[in-house]
Amino acid sequence: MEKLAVLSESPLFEMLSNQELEYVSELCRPRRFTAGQIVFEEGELGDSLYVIVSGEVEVLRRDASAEQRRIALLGPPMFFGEMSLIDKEYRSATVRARTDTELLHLTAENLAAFRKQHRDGFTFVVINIARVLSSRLRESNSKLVEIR
Amino acid sequence: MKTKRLNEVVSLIAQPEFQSWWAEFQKRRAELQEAQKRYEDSLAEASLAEFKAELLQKNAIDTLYRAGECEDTAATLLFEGTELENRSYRAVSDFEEQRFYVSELWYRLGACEKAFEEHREAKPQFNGKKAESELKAAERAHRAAREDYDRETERRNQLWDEVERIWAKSAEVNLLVAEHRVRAKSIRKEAEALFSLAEEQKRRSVDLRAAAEAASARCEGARSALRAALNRAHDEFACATGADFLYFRQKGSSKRIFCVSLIEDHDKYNVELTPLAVYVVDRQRGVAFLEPSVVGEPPSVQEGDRRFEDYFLRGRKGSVISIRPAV
Repeated sequence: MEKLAVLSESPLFEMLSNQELEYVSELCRPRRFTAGQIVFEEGELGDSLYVIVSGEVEVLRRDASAEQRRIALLGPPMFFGEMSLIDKEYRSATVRARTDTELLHLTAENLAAFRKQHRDGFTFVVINIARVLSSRLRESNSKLVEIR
Repeated sequence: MKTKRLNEVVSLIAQPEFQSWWAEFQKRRAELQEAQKRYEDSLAEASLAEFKAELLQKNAIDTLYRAGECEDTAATLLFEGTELENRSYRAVSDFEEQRFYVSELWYRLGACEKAFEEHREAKPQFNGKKAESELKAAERAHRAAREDYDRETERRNQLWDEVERIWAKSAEVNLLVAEHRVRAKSIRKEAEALFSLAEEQKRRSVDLRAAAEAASARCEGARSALRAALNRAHDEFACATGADFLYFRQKGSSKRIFCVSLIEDHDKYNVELTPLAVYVVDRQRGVAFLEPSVVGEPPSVQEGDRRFEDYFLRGRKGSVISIRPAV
């Protein structure tokens, strides 16, 4: 797996310089999941995010009747798990591999190491996370209006 | 451990002296891995042979017990056969006695028959009350004799049936005795073969244990050679040595250490390790947390500023981020 190529495609690392991307690629560890395997469970403590290299994952959340419902389907070059990384809360959803999936795993500690070396690059990563969260908020708002 | 700058560590790694040490270190490590593998293989083989020997011994003992059980069954059956034979003598004797008694009854029946016939033939000549009662008495005697004869003949036949039943059972038991004896003999032979195999396996396990000990000594030799290679690195390159890393103090920092990975690893550490790559670690935490080292200057503040200007003041260049809805 060419980690650098994958990371440079990911919206999480948009606007990063080559040097910063190279550094991040050294901090990321590849993880493989088979179809149906759980990446993490809703309610777990999480301090890492994942970038999708190949395959697809589904984001599942329990509704009021405790039944798991799919809320999103993600593929390359998207990322997930960033919410717990930012707010230090428990995982808000379960993520399960829908097909055989390859991911890049970046822990909070490794991200902190990136910040020490590349402060501006780190700021852009945070901006990118904020952009994704903002995009989700917009989408949720539209859905809310549609429901009303 | 001398202090060094990152570029000094990087240039040290590129030097022919270091490269020659690295080649030797890799050779020694491969030798140790090979020796360890051989030791583990021979130890596993020795343990397996010991286990096999024990298992064979246990099987042999169990088989011997089985042979004993078979012999016991044969002896019990032999005793039963003897009992049956004795019972058959008694039964034959009872039959003979009954046969003699039945013969007597047959003669008696013949006499009664004759007397009854005589009275019947004499009846018309005497034609009196006395003759009538004598005829009736003769008839009763004849009937009683017939009944006795029939009953005792039946009993004689039953006795003969009993004799035949005992003989048949005795024959069966005798056949089983022979069979059990042969089987016991065969099982005993099997047990002897198993004992012999167990002995052979024990001898093999002793040889294998000796081979494992020799492999262990070779392993120790290879370990010493690897340790010597690491000591040489310590002396020649002024670094601290671990099993998987070389450590250099960072010039200008009392907390940070450069470490050079001597292994490739994708799993155990917080980053993927590449051989001879330089990482930075904290003096206290060591390799519990590794940071990749960066050769050259970090991007300038101005460059960072330019990117922020580009993003915030001139509009975003990146793609629109959207989430695919659930299907």
